[in-house]
Amino acid sequence: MTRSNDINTFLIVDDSITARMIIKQCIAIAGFRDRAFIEARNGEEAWQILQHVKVDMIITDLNMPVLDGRMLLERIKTTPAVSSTQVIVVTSTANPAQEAELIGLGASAVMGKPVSPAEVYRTLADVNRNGRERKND
Amino acid sequence: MITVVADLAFIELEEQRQDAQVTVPAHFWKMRLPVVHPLEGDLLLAAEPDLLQEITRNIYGLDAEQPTSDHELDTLAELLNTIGGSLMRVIVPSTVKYELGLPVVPGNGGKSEAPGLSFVFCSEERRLIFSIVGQNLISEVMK
Amino acid sequence: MNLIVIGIGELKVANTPGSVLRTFALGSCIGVALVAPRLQAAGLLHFALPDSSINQELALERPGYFADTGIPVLIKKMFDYGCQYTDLIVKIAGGANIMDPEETFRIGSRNTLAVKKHLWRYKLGAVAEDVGDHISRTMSVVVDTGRVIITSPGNGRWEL
Repeated sequence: MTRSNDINTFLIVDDSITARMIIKQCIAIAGFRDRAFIEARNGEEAWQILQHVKVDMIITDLNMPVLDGRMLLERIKTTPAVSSTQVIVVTSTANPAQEAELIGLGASAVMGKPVSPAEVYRTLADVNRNGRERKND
Repeated sequence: MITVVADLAFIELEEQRQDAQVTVPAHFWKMRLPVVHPLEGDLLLAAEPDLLQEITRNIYGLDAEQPTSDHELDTLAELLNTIGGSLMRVIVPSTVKYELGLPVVPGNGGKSEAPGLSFVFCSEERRLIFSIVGQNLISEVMK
Repeated sequence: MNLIVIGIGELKVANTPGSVLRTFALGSCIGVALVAPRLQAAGLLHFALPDSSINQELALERPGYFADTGIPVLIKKMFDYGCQYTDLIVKIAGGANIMDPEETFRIGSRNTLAVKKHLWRYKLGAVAEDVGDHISRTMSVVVDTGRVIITSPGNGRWEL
């Protein structure tokens, strides 16, 4: 995969420390080992981080306490300062109906748990490629 | 269930039996996950401590190091969340969204009869018991 | 082309331009390719069994025979050739359940779980895999580019 120099900081949002660790390791394996990783336990923590830190890509769970992933996605995509940030949803409730709704809300991709390094590698490559195509339009 | 544990923890489980009456020993770690929509019910996962420790160690990539009990509990919750999602993906039509609650430690700490329908899985004689509660949910699973 | 053949239980690393690492007859065995395109280096391991505890003498003589001993040795050899973790890309192939149509022994499946477990322990993982089924595979790694090619009798040739 051609490594994107545009993605320097990832924000991983999940109430499970185990899930955050798995996702982070998969992203590292996919070619981003030397990038910065920030973690948040729910959508509200993630939102507060976004007020102060420039993040290039957000990987979020859906089902979380305080503020869930859907509401986080809606907030991000309706706030001009951060709306261009790529958001990938990783959820145990992924199916075609869920994916269609989340893509409609602005998610760049949706992955179902459990994720594998190979799947994360392919998804990040697709998202990168689509992102570059949109920039060139 | 077998696929999820293999994918996450690199452990091969064998299905031992399926029963409406399974006793869950008091010392097993337990977790409950509500199923919210479009079906209602609960999913429960009970793990023999040695097996949960090995699952946690494999997921965290630990060698001789012991995982902490916080990590073990979180692993059990995430495992149940993932198993629940995989199960729902099979029984709910792809055109319908489904919703799960947040995993919680169930209140009854002692030995108990697992409610609903239970599936017992084994790895090297250590057990993982997965139970489904809720008549509509059980009916869809048994179809 | 400088062809370097890896036999069962062997592992080799190369960084000579024009080299190809190749291993044949991956049935239940697994081929593990570690490639580092930036350094034009690559390594290939062909292991047969998941766990060295069944024969520790053999594991000492031939660490590549088992997943748990072969993988760390392969990683170390890549580091000896100047690679760092950020350079490494992993691809795996094999793990078929051959001559086991009832899948009684499932050595291929057990090998697949073992390779993923041990790679994960070393903070690695396969970004591409061609495992399972009931076919025999030959795996070739082009050292200059890191491309991995799989061929299988009667099934053709494809890139991983």
